[in-house]
Amino acid sequence: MTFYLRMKYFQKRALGIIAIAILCQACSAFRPKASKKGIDGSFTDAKNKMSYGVGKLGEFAEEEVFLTEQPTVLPIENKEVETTYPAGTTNLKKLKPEQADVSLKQCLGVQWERNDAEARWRSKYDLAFSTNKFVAYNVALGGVDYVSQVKRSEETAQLMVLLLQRMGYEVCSASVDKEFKMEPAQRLWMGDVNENMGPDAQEGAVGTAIQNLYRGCLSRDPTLEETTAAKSLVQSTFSYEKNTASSLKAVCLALVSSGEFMFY
Amino acid sequence: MLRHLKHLEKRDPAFTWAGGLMGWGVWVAIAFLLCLLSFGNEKTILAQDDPVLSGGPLLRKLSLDLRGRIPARAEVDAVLSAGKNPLEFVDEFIESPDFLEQVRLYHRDKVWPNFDNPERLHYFDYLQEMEVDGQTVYFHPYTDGAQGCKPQQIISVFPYWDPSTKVNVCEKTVGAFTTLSSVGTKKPTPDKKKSYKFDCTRRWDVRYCGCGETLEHCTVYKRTLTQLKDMGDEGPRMAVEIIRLNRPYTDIVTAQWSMRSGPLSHLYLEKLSTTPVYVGDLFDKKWRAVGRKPVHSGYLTSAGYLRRFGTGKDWSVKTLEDFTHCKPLTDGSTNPLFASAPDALISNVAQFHQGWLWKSTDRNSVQLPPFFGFLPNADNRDTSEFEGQSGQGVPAFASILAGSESFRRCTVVSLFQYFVGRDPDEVKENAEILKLADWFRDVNFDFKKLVKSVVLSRAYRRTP
Repeated sequence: MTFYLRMKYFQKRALGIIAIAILCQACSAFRPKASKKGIDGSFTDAKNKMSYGVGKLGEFAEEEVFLTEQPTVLPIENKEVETTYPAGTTNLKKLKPEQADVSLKQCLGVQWERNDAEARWRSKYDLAFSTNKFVAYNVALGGVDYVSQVKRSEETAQLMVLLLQRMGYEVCSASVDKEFKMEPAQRLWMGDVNENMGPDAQEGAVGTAIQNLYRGCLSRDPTLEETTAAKSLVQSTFSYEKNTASSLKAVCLALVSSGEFMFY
Repeated sequence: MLRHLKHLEKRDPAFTWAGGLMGWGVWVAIAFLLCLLSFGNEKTILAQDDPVLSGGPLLRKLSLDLRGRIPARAEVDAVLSAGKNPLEFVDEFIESPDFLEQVRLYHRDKVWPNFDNPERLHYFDYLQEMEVDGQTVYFHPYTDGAQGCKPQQIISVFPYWDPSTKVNVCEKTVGAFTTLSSVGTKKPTPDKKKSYKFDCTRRWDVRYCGCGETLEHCTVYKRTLTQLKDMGDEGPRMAVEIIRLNRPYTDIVTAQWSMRSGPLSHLYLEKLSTTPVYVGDLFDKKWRAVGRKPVHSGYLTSAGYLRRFGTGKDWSVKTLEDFTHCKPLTDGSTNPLFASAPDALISNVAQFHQGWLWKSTDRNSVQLPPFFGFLPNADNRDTSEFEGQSGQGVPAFASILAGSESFRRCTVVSLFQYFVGRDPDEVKENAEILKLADWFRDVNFDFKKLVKSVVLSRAYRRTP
């Protein structure tokens, strides 16, 4: 009996849910389809028969036309396109080892390399040996040597992650040490940060260093949340390390080993 | 039973019609609210987010792709602080020397002609180096032994790679057996108890025959590595030169000139006797354009390419993959942009390659792979067909290829894959790729314009 009653109860609720679904469908059928938005930023307004920001290969968007000297290089006519991309078609690319090498040198002022006696000795006698670790670990980092590996790997292997973490430690450590040996005016990103003062006493200088790091390595300014997080990382590291250099190394490491740095 | 049910319905309003209607009303109200919210969300998303890259991240992407490095701090400041549009940097990036280096790497990645093992060039014998009294002495491990020679056995010679400067070398390294007909006997060693009669005309016996008075039959390992590296770089350097001079990109498969570095010209002239001129000494790393025989045809007959893909079928498959298919032929893509390559097509293209015959060298009279540009008898070639046109030899094939739709389509697709980082989407981008390919022909195969067109597209700037 109780079962019968419950069934009757749920039957009514089920009817209600079906009705809601029909109503929602009706709403979506009557709303302007143009409101759908594609991942590529394009959208169409069917109501006004307008198309906005429909990007196609070889076509300059309206705001960029002034950039081209040859306006005739517009081979594609504007037309409506589908608004969604199938799964797995992202534009994400991994930084090549060659690119990472040059880029780190540019934003941190150091290279990832071996400088021990054995490396110096080997580089003298072994032509295939390089003290540059991006060259040494080229294939492991997704590069190609055109012999054992002729196609760049699109996957991120575990070894690669470990190597990049190691790279972050070594490069950031070398960069911070190098920066502190230089005059503030000559520094690449550290600015006026004083090694002998805590982050609380020089909050402005630390903030500038963080901004410099973001601009140099990621080509953008940090958001408010990122700045706050970076500063709190500096302070928390300083609380038990009692060393400003270590604190900044931690921030640098977080940035260099981030997905945003290694993928673009 | 029924009475009991009616009693329950009276007690519970949810079981009554009135209660049911009231429930419906609530649900309708909720549904209406949900519809309103969904409208609101759409508008909010459209107003807030712009999933096309802009500002600093776009500048970073452009700089990494066009110059191989992140933007300089001044460029970032110009965009972030002064509000400069990152797209205004595109022309500057494309005209920079770094872009040419990226072009070289792009072609190296695309075609990867390379020598994996220098030992395969068996006409080389390697000299080892040792130091005696602070001076470098060359010796041959087979004629002098693994440890070299004693100081009193050292003599000086003028080596072929630098005829004006004497170098020290072990006496036996120069060798008595330098003529082609030399034969001799190798004495027993602790490893090999039996004596061995060798013949310098045999490939596997060359090692016992010495290097000659100017060491002309030997080379220094490090320099050979440089030469082999340059051999793989010949094609990519051609691409760089084509783009530097704003030549039509079709030259990549049709040009009768090529590029040589100092080490490479020495390799070809001294060892292979093919290049008419030196373009620099053995250490000159500068690349210069040189003319070639009319049998040559751009990338397709460069030494590294012919050597790496030595047989007709290998050469055919690789050529189709690189210049018409844009993917490995075995790839199971369903996108019609990557047209299928049936066996008949592979066979036909291989037949154009047929004329490249093997050639003997003076040194050891063994047949070597055909990377010397040697076509002994053009009449031996059969006529083959590609895309409805027939011809003989690689230049004829290259001429048909350069004018074909598949070549320009593949060029565009390759650049798309390289810059955008994925295959074109079949539904949205195929038609545009085809139009862009035709446009590429209309602008006289201007590679820089094509690159610019790709990086300014929304497909490129779409956020990951």
